[in-house]
Amino acid sequence: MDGQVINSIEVTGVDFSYRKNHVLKDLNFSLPLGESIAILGANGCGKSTLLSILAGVRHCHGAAMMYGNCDLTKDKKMRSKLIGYVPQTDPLLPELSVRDNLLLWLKGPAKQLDAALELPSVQMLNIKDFIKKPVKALSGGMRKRVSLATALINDPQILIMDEPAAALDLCYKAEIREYLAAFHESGRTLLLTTHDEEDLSIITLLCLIRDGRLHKSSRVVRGDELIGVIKGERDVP
Amino acid sequence: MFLKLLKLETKKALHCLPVFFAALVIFGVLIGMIYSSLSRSLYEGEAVARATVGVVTDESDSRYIDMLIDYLSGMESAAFALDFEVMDEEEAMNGLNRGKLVAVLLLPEDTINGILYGENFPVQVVFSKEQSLSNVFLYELTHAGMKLLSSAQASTYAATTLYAKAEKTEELWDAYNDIDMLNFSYVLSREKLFFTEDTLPAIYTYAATALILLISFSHICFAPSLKREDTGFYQLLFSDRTSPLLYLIVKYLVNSLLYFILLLTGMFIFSKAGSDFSISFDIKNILMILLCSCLITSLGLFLEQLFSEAGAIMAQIILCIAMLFLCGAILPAAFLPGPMLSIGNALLFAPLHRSLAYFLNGNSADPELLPMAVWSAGLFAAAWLVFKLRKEARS
Repeated sequence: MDGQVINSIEVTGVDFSYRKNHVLKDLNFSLPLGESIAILGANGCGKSTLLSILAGVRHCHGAAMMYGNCDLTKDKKMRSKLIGYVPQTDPLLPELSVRDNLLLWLKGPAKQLDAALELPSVQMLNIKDFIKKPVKALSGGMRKRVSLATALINDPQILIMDEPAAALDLCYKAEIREYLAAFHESGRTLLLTTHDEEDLSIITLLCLIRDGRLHKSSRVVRGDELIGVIKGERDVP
Repeated sequence: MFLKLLKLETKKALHCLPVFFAALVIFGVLIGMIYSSLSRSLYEGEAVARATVGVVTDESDSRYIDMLIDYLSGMESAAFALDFEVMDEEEAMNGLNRGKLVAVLLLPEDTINGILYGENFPVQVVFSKEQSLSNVFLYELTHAGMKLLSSAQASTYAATTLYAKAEKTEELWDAYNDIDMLNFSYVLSREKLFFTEDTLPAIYTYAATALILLISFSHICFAPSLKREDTGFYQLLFSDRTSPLLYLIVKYLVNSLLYFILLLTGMFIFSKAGSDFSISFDIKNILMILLCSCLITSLGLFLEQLFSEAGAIMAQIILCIAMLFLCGAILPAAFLPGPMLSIGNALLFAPLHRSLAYFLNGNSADPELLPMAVWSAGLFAAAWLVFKLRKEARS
C-alpha cells in the first residue's frame, strides 16, 4: 500500500438475510489490525455468516471492506493475500496426503511449499512430522493443525477462524489455542467466533452480535456477565 | 487452480485403483460364474448338442412311417434340435432312462390309418423324469405342436365333411392341396409373432448384461473419488475465487478419462485373450467405450451428490439391476409387459446395453452414441443442480 500505515479495515453496508430472517442489519464497523477479536452471540445470530462474508465465501451486495484505499470485496486477489480463512469443518481432502492438501491452497508453484513450511507461524504447527500421511489417517487435532496450515502457508496478515475448537477434545483445544495466541503475538490480526469461554483467554477485543447489530465491548467480559450480555439481559459494557 | 485440481483429483482417482482391481477380480469371477452357468448352459450348450427322440411303432416297415418321420424331422420347431429314430420299445425306454433320449413317441396300432381316415388314436409321449429346463421346453413344444396338429387335422376333416355335404366328394382329391396350403398359411402367419426383427443372439445380450454389471459394480470403487467433500472445502474454494462447478467438471473429466483407459485396456486384453467374441476397435466403438465411461461416471457423480457415500453405492447397485431388468437385459424382453419395457428402453442402460451387445457381436449395428451422450450430459447437469440445491439448503 505504498508505505501507507494501515491500522484497520473499515467494513460498511453488511446486510444479510436468509429468506425472511434478517440476520445482519446494515453493519458498519472498524476492524482494528493487530488485535485478537472474538465475535460472540447466540446460536443463529449471524456470527459465521459475518465471518464468511469477510472471508469472501458469501457475497453481500452493497458491502465494502476498505483496507486503505483498496476495497477488498472488489480486489479479491488482495483479499486472498491478506486474509487466511479456516472454516468450521476441515477444508481437507481426506484421501490425499497433508502435502497435497497444502499444495492445493498454496498460492504459487509447488517448489514454494518448502519455504512456506519454514514460516514461523507454520513451523510451530509441526506439520512436517506427518506431511506425507494421508489426512484420513490423522487425529482430529492433527487435522485442525493442517486446516490452520492451509490458511497460514500464504502468510496472511489476518486469520479468520470459525469455531477453532469445534469437535476437539480438551488437549487439542488447548493446543490450538496456543497456536492462535502465538499467531497474534507475532503482531497479526486474529478474528474468530467461539462458543468456548476458554478461548477468550487469547482475546483482546470482544464483539457481540445481538438483534442483527454488532456491538463492541470495552472489555472482555466473562462468566455470568457474558451470558447475560449474549442473552440480552445486560447491556454490552 | 484448474491444473492443481486436475493433478490432485487424478491422484485421488489413482488411489482408488488397488481396490478397483481387487473388486474387478471378485466381481469378475462372480458375474462370470453366473453368466456361464445361466447364459451358456441355457442358450449355447444345449442348442449345439442335438437331442434324439425315439419313435416306437409296430408298423416300422410301413412307408407311411418313413413319411411321418420325415414330416416330424422337417418341422421347423424340431429341426434345429431334434433327431427322430425308429426303435423297439425296450431299446427306447432304456435309452430314455440312460439319458440318451429326451423323449419317446409311442405310436399306437393303426396310427397311420387313424390319421388318414380321421379316427383318433392318441400318440403317447414319454419324457425323461429329469426336471431340466430343456425337458420343460420340450414338453411345452410337444404340447403346442400336438395342439397345432389336431386343429390342422380338424380343419382338414371339416373341409372334407363340407365337400361331402355339398356332394362334391369327387372334387375333394383336387382340393386337398389347396386346403393344406390355406391351413399352413394361417398357421405360419401366427408363427411370425415369435420372431423379432432384431435377431442378436442371446449370448451377446447376456454377455453385455454381465459386462454392464461388472462395469457398474467395479465403478463403485471410485466412490471416494466422486463423493461430496466437506462444506469447509467448498467454502475455501469460494473464498479462493474458484467455482465449485469447475471442481465438479474436473472430477468428472478425471474419473471419466481414467475409467475410459481402464475399460479400453480391459476390452483389448479380453479381445486378445482368446475370447469367443469378435470385437473390433473402430472409432465408433472407441467412442462408445468413452461414452460408457462418461455415463457411468456421471451416474456415480449424481448419486454421490444426492446421497451419502454408502447410500450412493447402494443406489448404484439397485439402479443398475433395476434398469437392466426393465430393458429386458436380465429376463428376456418377451416376458415383460409392454409399458414396463418402454420405460426400460427410455432409461440410460438400454442404449448402453444394446451398444455393448453389438460391440461384442463384432459391431453388426451402429452403437447408440447420441442417447448415451445425452444421458451422460443430463446426469452431470443433474449432479450440478443437486449440488446447488444442497448449497442453498445449507445457506
